[in-house]
Amino acid sequence: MRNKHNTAVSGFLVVAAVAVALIASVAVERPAHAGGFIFAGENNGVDLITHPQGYTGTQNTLNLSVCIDSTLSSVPAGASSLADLEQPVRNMVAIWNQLQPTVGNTLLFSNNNIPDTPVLYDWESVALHELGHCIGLAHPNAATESGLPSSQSNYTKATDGVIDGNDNTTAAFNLSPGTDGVIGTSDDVRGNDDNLHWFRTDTNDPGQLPLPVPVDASTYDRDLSSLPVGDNFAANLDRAVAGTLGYPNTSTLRTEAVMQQGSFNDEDQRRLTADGVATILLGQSGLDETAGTADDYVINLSYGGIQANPTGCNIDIRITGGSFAFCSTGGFFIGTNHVRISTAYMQFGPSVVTYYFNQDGPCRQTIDLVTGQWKQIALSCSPPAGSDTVADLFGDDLSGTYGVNWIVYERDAANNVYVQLALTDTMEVGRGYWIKTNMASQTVNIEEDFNGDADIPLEDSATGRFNMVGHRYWYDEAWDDVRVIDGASVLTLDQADPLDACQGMNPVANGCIMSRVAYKWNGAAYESFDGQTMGMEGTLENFDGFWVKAFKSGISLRIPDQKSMPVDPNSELLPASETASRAAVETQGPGPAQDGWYIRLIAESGDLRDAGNVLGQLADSRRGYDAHDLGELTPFGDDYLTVVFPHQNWGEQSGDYTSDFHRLRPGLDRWGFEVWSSDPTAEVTLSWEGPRELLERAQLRDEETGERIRVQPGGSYTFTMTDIGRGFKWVVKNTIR
Amino acid sequence: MTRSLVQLIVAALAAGGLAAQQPAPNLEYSPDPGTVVVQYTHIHHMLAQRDPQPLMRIYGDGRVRVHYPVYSPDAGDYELRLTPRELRELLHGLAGDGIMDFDQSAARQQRQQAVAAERAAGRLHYVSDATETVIGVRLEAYGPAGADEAPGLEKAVRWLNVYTDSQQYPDLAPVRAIAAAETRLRTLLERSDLTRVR
Repeated sequence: MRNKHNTAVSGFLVVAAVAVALIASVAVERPAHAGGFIFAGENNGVDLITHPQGYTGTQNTLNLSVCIDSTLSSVPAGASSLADLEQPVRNMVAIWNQLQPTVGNTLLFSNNNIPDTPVLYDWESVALHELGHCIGLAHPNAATESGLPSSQSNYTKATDGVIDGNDNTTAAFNLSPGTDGVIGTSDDVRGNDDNLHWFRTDTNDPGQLPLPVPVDASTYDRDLSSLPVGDNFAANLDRAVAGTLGYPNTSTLRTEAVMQQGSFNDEDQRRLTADGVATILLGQSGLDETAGTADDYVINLSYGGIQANPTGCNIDIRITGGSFAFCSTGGFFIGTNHVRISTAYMQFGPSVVTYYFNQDGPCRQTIDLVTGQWKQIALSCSPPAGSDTVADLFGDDLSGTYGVNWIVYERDAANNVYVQLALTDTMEVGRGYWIKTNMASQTVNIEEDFNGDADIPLEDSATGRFNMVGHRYWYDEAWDDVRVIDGASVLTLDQADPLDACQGMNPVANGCIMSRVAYKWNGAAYESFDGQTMGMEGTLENFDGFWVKAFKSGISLRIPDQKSMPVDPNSELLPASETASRAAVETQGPGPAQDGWYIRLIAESGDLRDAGNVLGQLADSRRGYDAHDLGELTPFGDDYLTVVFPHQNWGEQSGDYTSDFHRLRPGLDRWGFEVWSSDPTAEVTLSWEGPRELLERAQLRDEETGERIRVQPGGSYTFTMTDIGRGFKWVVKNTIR
Repeated sequence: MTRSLVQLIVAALAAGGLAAQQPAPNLEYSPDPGTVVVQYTHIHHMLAQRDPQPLMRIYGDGRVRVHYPVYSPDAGDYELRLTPRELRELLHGLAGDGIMDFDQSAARQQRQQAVAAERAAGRLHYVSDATETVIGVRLEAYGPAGADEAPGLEKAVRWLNVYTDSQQYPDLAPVRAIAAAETRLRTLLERSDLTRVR
């Protein structure tokens, strides 16, 4: 990745503002279109939803090609030929196909690969926005088509509320930023302005992840009567609004809906946020606006190449004319409040600005390596064929000599041994690897294409064979969403590990195929997760390698591309209400849930941090071992810091655990745990997270000193190790029945 | 400021854009080198930070100042000079295009009617992220040929998406007027004597 200097933006704006004396305040001709969907507005209908070309209400997949029209195009400033546009087009096609929302999607200045000089606009970012228009999306903000001045154009998209055949009689807009003084937020006061921006009804937060399940008219609405209590108007994901909502908002990293009007120079905005993805998904719920029904569809864009007088292409790209960038679309009604696009093309002026044409793939991975710590990694992006060796992938990023200053291992699961890779060995998507460097300030970057969704074959044994595998995608995915492929059967974790069969004495005989428990090294300790146990659900993140244990031959692990996941609200996916419930626990809700609670213990010392330890009570737990008690693997490497719940009296299940749940019962309850450190003199800080009500009734006992520490929310206890292990008791006075 | 007025007697051959049977109007402009007689620019709505300087200003002494913003591949300021005859021809051309008599309100209504007719026929059209064309003219006098008195004229014509409107509504008179005027003005940007001055 190119190094850049962090340079102040846009000195060019300090240009003498020559009075436009001749240009009087003459009314401007304005299009009668606006909204979350193009064509929505006063004239065509405020509830209107626009669908891409080809949709009739019966298709499952809309295949749309995007072509560069060489006949109508000249080479734009910043490009050496039209071929420079091809990688950006492939990228934006992949991004709109993948529909993966994120936060912090706007990379500025030193945080992107756009050169500082000359003043450059990222064509891929601009084109991603225009392609969004070409498949039906409008601006979330009022934008300039409202007729409002730029200082007011970030109010949420709306009509002026006066039905006069013109959406944008500017004098009729009602505009007040509300008490927070920020334009576009939920407390804006808009009088009779008629909202056009579909908002999620539970939170009115346009950047919130994960998206609700399903995304359709049951979870999104345009009618302000569906707003959460206390909100005045639909919020839009302008970058200033995103800052107020707690999303990344620094000088080099911001969050903003791609469809927000306005491009800045030196701005990489090549990824989508929740807002844009949700609006597409809402459209994909079809004419009935209900996900999971027969009229649903998905959009499958493809790049059709550079063509002279393209035929058979759905969306042409033209580099001509004097406009900066636009998408021109035609459409017609296919039902009440539903329009289908009939024609679409994008056009960019070749000499309005100088563009930057990104030649990197759409998938980007960046990870900082901690000096001296093993890191379990995977390739969440696909390196190009022929550029997939250890040297290709890491040699340009890591200092020092391979084998001396840094090293990479893989696990040969068939032979159950580690293998040190040579610089010339290739690395594969879907496998896990160990990497370590003894050099300081080392960062690894991989920027190529998105991975496909191929299954990962697993080696097995009757007693269970550990396979080190890798997350396939750059975005987070819940462990519970993975599937186990056994011949023609696609199994959930419950089905692959029924009734905890994989933890028993005769796993295969009991129907065990693959353990539901996976293990991930966090740099200090192993974290275990099973997809279901409260607090131990587990998430696969960008670059994660992890362990799974297979018991049956011929099986594979499938990490599904989220786009292909079902949206049936009755499926195994969490309903929105349960997601909210879990989120409440994660954010330290006011009290314990009826069906249980958990407290997370976090040990920290220097660069080592282990946060994967949970104690608690669940209605279906037992006093001894049960399926919610997840084992912890022995630390990897020489440096570690870990918390374990030792249970040496659990018979065949004796061992160290990373979670320890009991049955709900009243009275005083205790959990014994130990902190283990590779440094017997390390200073360790132990902290905790959990429901306030339970923390305030808890006590920590240091068994070495006998000290009793009163536990408070946000509190911690710091001590110095005197050996590699130290025992503690966590005591809770429990009144829950 | 001293200001001598130049009386422009209509000469049909000098007004290239005028219809042959239509007498050229009576127009006068200030030859003052500090007076902007014609201004032409684009406002690209998708650009978050726009250079407020207009693309082109033509002064009364015939000086044409072209400004390309710093984000343009041609960034810088350029000049050329029109002869009085060229400037007169340009003004008459713009008059012939319909800029001086452009009625913004009526033009907007015409477009709305055209859009409504399309909608009634089941056809919708949408253009994102408009580019706004602005053409301004300042004259000391402007009136029909032969008129005894001609008042001053300050005219600003603004239109969104001239390019796509020209394709979508090719018969709409206001669109034709602006497109023709824009083409006329853009020829100045192609002249070989346009010299960089900054």
